[in-house]
Amino acid sequence: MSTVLREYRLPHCTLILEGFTTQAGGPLAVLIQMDCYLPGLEQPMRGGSELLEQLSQTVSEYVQNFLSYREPIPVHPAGPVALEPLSQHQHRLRVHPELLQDAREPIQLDLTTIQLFDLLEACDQGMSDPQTLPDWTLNLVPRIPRSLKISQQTLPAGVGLATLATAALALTLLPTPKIEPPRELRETATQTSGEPTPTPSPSPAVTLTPTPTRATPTPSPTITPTPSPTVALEPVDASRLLILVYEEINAAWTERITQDMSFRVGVNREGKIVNFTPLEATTGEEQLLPLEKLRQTGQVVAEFRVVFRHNGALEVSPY
Amino acid sequence: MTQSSATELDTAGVLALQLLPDPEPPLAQGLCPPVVAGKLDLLLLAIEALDRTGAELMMMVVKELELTAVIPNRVLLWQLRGANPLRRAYNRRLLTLNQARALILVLVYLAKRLTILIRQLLLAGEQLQQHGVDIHHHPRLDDYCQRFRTHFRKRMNLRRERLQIYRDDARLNLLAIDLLHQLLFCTGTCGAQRLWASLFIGEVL
Repeated sequence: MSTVLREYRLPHCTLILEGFTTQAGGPLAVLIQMDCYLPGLEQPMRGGSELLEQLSQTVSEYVQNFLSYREPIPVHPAGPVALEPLSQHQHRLRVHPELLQDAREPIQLDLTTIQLFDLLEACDQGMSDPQTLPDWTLNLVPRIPRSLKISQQTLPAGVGLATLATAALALTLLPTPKIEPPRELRETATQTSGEPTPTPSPSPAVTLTPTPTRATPTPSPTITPTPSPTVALEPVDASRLLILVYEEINAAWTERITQDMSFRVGVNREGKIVNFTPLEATTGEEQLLPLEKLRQTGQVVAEFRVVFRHNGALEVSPY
Repeated sequence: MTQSSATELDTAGVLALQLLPDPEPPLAQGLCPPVVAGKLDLLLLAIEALDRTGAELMMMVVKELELTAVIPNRVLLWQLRGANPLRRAYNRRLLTLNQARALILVLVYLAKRLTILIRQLLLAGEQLQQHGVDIHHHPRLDDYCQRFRTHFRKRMNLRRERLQIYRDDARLNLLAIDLLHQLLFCTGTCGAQRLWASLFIGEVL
């Protein structure tokens, strides 16, 4: 690694870049300091890579506008490096002190078009030099304004495309619907992600549940054995099970009851009832319901709230 | 032997054209809008006013830069100039991207040859303006402006409403000096890219 100097000298502007190379004989890869000498400046304009970047960018934009419209237009008037026309061929350059080394006051300088060209040319020579800051390059692509006349043959296709583009743009503005995973899903997810390295076997005897599930080892040993925790299900599976449970209970329920009763019901993969817990105080009417009759053994994979209405209606919803 | 050198020549020309990227969004049928031909023609007109031999030189430069695959002969070169909508002999032609690129390369080549003269004239113009002196007092600059006025009035359609103001010498002198400034930017290291990127925006005049 060694320090190198690059000098771009033009009649009205000298740009000196000082930096390191990362390998012997390689390009100037890291800029330490830049000095820019312009007529009317007692001290050179001195700064770092940000000054170089902002200065070359502003001058480049200003010149492109001048070439396009044949008259100068202000560029970044409130930015750290501003260029504004004073007349057709007089241009005022202002550089904010935050970009400058050893300067408290902004630099303000009036340049003629030839001086401006020399400043641009010094930057362009640096950008085109593969031995100087390989990432500092000129990337100018002609932009076609929308107002350009489109020939008649292409008009219909153009209108179609424009409509499509407008519609697509409008649709992207609509908010994307948020997908809320079911509560059980979130719980198990946080449990698993919350404990990335669960202790291999804290005390298996305590945490064992009567109906072992696929759920990850539950961290707290105080969980009640019934109803057993459930595993996360695909939402599609849950809605399929819900229909199965509804149909099974509905088909088996024949007795009328006098008041509403609701249960938390655990079901297995096939939608068969594995366990159930009444959610209110029992009234002695449970034996009228088919739950006990339908009960089978198996692994609980989902839980539903099942409500038997006194008017004979049956409601099943995810618990 | 001759064939292999001919291929090399073609590749060199094509490589130079590729330095100028396609515009965004892409042009319909790859044809440039009339403003491109208009701006290029006016700049070439300024070159002709700077250098009496400019017009003859252009075809030589096409060969020198190995661009004959794009502009094979003088007739096509003049047809491309005639694509300027301000011309009397406007031919309603639209330049292809490569024709416009080839014209830029020729223009930039000629402008670079004239760098010193362009800078001298512009410096003289600035000094005259500072002292409030008319350009007649600088023979070389006056000569350029006079020749530009002649070329412009001979070839452009002054009956167009937009060109009516150029019946006035002073206005046409200002245009001539503006074009000289534009040519100055063409003489730079990235002159071709800068001119190319500017062509599609704005108006001919």
